[in-house]
Amino acid sequence: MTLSINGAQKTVALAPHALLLDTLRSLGLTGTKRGCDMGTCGCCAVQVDGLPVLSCLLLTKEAAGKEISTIEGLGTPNNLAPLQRLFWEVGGSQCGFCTPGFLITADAFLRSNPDPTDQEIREAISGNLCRCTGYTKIIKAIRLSAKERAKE
Amino acid sequence: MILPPFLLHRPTTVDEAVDLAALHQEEGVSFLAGGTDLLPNWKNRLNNQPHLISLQSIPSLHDVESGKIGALATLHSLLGFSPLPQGLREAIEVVASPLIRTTATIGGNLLLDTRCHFFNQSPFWRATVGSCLKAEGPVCRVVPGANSCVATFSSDLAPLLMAMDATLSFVGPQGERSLPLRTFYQQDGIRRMVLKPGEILTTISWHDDPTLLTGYAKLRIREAWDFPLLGVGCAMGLCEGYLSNLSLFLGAVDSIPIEVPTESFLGEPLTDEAIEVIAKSAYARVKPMKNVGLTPSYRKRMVPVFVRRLLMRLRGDH
Amino acid sequence: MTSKEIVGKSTPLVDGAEKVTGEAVYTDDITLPGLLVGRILRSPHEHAQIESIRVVDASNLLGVHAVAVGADAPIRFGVLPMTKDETALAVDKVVYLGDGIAAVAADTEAIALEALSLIKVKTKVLPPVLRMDEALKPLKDGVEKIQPMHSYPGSRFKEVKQSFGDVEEAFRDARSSVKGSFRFQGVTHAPTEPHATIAHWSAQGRLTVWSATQVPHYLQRSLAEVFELPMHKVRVIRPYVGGGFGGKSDPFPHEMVAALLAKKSGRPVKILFDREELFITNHGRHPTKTEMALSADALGNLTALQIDALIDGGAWGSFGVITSYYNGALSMGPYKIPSFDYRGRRVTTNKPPSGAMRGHGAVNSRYALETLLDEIAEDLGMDPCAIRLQNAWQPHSLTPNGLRITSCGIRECIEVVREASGWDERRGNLPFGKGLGIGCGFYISGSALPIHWERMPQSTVHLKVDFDGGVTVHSLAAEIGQGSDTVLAQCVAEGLGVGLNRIRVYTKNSDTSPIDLGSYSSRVTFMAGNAAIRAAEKVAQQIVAGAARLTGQPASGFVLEGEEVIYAPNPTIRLSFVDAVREALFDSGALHGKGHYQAPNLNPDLPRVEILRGKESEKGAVMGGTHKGAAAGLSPSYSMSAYIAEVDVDPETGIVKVPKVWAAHDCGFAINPIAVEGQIEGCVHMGMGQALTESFDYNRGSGRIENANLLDYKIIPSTDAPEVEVFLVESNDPEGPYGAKEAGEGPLLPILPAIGNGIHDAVGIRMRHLPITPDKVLAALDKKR
Repeated sequence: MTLSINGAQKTVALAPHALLLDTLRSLGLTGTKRGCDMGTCGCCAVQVDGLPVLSCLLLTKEAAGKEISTIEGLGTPNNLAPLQRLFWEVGGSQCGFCTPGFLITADAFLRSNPDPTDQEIREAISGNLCRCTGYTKIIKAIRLSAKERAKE
Repeated sequence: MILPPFLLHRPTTVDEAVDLAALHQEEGVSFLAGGTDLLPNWKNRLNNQPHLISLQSIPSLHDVESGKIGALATLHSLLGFSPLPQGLREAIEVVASPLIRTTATIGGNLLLDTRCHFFNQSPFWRATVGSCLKAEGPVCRVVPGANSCVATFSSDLAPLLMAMDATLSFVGPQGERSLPLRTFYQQDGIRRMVLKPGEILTTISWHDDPTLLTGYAKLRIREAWDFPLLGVGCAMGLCEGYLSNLSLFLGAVDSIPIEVPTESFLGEPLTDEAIEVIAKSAYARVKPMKNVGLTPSYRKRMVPVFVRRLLMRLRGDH
Repeated sequence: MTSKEIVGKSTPLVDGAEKVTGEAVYTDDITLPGLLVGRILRSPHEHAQIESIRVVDASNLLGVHAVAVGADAPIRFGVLPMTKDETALAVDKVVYLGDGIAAVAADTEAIALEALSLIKVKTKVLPPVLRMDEALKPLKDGVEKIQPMHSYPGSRFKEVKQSFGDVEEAFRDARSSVKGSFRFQGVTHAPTEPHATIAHWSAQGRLTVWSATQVPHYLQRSLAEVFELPMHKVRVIRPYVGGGFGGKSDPFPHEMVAALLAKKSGRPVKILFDREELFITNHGRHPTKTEMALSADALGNLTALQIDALIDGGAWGSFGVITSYYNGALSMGPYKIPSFDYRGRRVTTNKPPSGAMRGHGAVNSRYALETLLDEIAEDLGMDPCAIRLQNAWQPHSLTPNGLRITSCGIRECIEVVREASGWDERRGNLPFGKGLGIGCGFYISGSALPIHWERMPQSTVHLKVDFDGGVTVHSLAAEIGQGSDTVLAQCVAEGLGVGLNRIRVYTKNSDTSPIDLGSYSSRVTFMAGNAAIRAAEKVAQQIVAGAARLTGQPASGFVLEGEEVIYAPNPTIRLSFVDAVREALFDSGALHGKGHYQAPNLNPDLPRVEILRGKESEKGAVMGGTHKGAAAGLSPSYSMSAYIAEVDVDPETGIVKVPKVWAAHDCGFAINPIAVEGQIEGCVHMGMGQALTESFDYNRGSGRIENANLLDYKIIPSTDAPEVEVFLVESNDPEGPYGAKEAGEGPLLPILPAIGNGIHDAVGIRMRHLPITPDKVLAALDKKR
């Protein structure tokens, strides 16, 4: 079957019970992380048709025909998305393991809410677990990204 | 944690889904809505089946209109829907996490499996203690000697939608039928609802009454992720200070939502004294089990507090 | 020295771009040709004799390439040389529920799991010891000791006593004395990245292990011991690590198992833990019962502290000997308390092993001490900030137990949060249910005592500067997200006067990087930072020599700054960094420099090992005194901190929220302020979890963890995390790199008592059992009413 990932079509052979997380990682898209496999940490978040979902709880076949976006599609080291740059610059990423999931969630969130309050940001990222930062600098990065977007 | 192997079916109409379920009934079938409850359970080898019929590709199940919601509507999509009764919004907003709510569905939440410390565990864990009634074991591990399962009812939406007297519509091998949600659940952690084999929940509907005050209050340790340790759903009609309607359901304190009787207060003003009586009566009706977080006595003690606070809030106290 | 250009400036992590793009490669992201999946069969019993293991059915399963049991690698290992009590897989008996019994390597995870189900284990269940009080009693007849190699009788693992001054007299003469019984549930690190390891044996018989580890060097040692190889035949590669917090600071059985399976199968093998396996194998903070008493004179001067800590080590030793000391020794700061009596007892139980977790050994006693200090203040009618200020150590002090305090910014820490929080106006004047509480902290910047008492530096850093003008830094200091690679890069860049973009940090490979002991005990900035500075000095000398040769000026006049080499007496004489480098190397090859760090030895006449054992020197005091265990708690420097937490308590539900924390930490000097802030904010989060929501819950008194998942083990989410206002206090440590000291662990300590004391200010109750769950709050309120 064919999947649309980061704007490119990929043909994959799949078991019926394949989960999107496993499929993505087997394709070398290892930026999507396996933290708990049970929907309780958010490290595996990807966007499906623009919405952040947990790829550890989504059968790959259910994502067929939809647009899948992973961290690799958000920006590259030579061309960082503003949100990525801000997570880096303000210290929103320490060990980095939860970072792709946060970026995926925050990117979708800012599209739906370009001018959020801190409380709204806290709500929006509350399905993503970070054990390093205490969230302070993650919230700051998202807030600054919203402000930058508003200026443009 | 890997899923057990199964055959995935992806019908595009309800009739096709019903036929597929009938065809594979003997081997064992489950329906998949959002999957956020079912897939973790299957990863834990909890009541997994050889056939999984995904309902996600059936367009009609995603329809949302005022007072009538397709069972496959995601919780996230409902939050963007207007008008949505305030209490339903409150209940949806406190389900799990935003990442769960983009996939989880209203139907899935109403059909959510009950929960218990002895059930929601890995195969390794369960093997160390012996399996329980709900996981095809011989005995209940919470209440030794119990002959029915006491796992905790954990849907946030059900108590509220029961208070709103919502109606469920099903399609099954015998055709369509509708049921009041209030008659849907039964007090058994395993056979937890009166769903017939092969039947699909298609819509959830309610009488749209903009004057009805609705609200949901949830006890949990964290403001994200957690299942309720107590949920209070309420629908209230107030006519010039007098109760024209009051309906109150408690979730997460039993295997089934518990109704708190309120008839005797109809036509009366909702005074502080009345609220106290209702709160006390709610307290008297519950007996939480030691099978989810915090102690049963604490959860019971919170019942009147949460009932009182919700009633006062709906009454208009700040 | 010229003004600093690189250190002291907030610097985004040098490996940050890789992390925000998903390019960073963690262990589970690595695949190798022929890679197999390894899985471990775990014990369903807390304590049992293994009578037989039948593996033939598993071995015969198609797709299975190796099956291993304990007898295949029976050599014992452990992070501390004196308590090596772990094996790759259980030999003869299992000692906790989850202990590894056998393992398989297979083509897929599904096959591996099926193979495990085919392994038949016959066991004789032994009576388990699960409670600490039970573990203190002599063994009953016929009951087998859990770990026969532990030297203490019965289930006791370690007992330490330390006493200074006349405690009895102090309590007798005290104007105020308070005491309390405190209980702490176990908590665990729960890094977002599960443990993962890949092992591969090359054709030359060398073993390579990629692992999510904080301690590559200890892993290398342990692998060498277990597989009876010279250490240089083992290569450890540490890929990106998704958080550690002490949870990856032991050499682990699963790392040995991967190597064993790889050896047996002749193929590379990866073991990735399920989330449940992280909980089961634990190594988290010890469940503890602490009896504590504190006294003061009429003026509020503290006079005596008595601690009796009973700690639950679970089944293995891990860092437990050190934990047994730290529960007492690290309570001797930041306050001057003339007399001190400590008894620490660690017991072995048939539960998942406890180990080192952020703030190792100090967190629980700190909660108790800061709580009692508040009670004394209340009893004496003193302000909690004032009593802390009054008793705070001055810089350059020696504690009764021999800890040498150098820099000491505790007063500034207290003053700054007192001011920022509006303490003087607000505390005691907030409505019922709202409160402010203070807590302080004190922690080591690395242990002066290395784990292995050998003649070896604690950190070494190598530099290479070549014709390309790039600077390569090699060190085995383990970057685990705390930003240690960035600190090394900053120290080197500052030392060479160049921009960070010239620096390339290589810290992942034990073959190419000189030994650093690893990321634990909050040691890396202090020790590896100093080593990096010295390495840079060595290279700078060579560059200056080049510049001197080229310009004909004396070498002593040159400084390196702003990518230039400048002759200070006449700054018009200057040349670019690259030109100077090229001149310096043209007849000798790439420039090399190394620097090392060794904690100070205050008596150079005494052999180092003797010093570490606390032997008295003829020539005077040895660092750390001469009492037994004197070296435990010794550090070249100590961090200090003071936090104030604003706490909301709902008196009807008992639910506690923490909306705001003012956090001041004396880190000596913030080499990378943004990273120091991040450590403090993360510490607040993790400590708040232990205070309010996180705990290891055992199912019905068994050794089965009831909440071995991230839904039921309750880490604070973003919705519940407080706003944290950070204040960096810079006391300029005389021995720290650019004056820096630790910031990774100490900042966890103050938040727990700040919350506890805030609860008291809010509703008037003293919480002595952690976590402070709503039901406990209500019970305490009931008792008070």
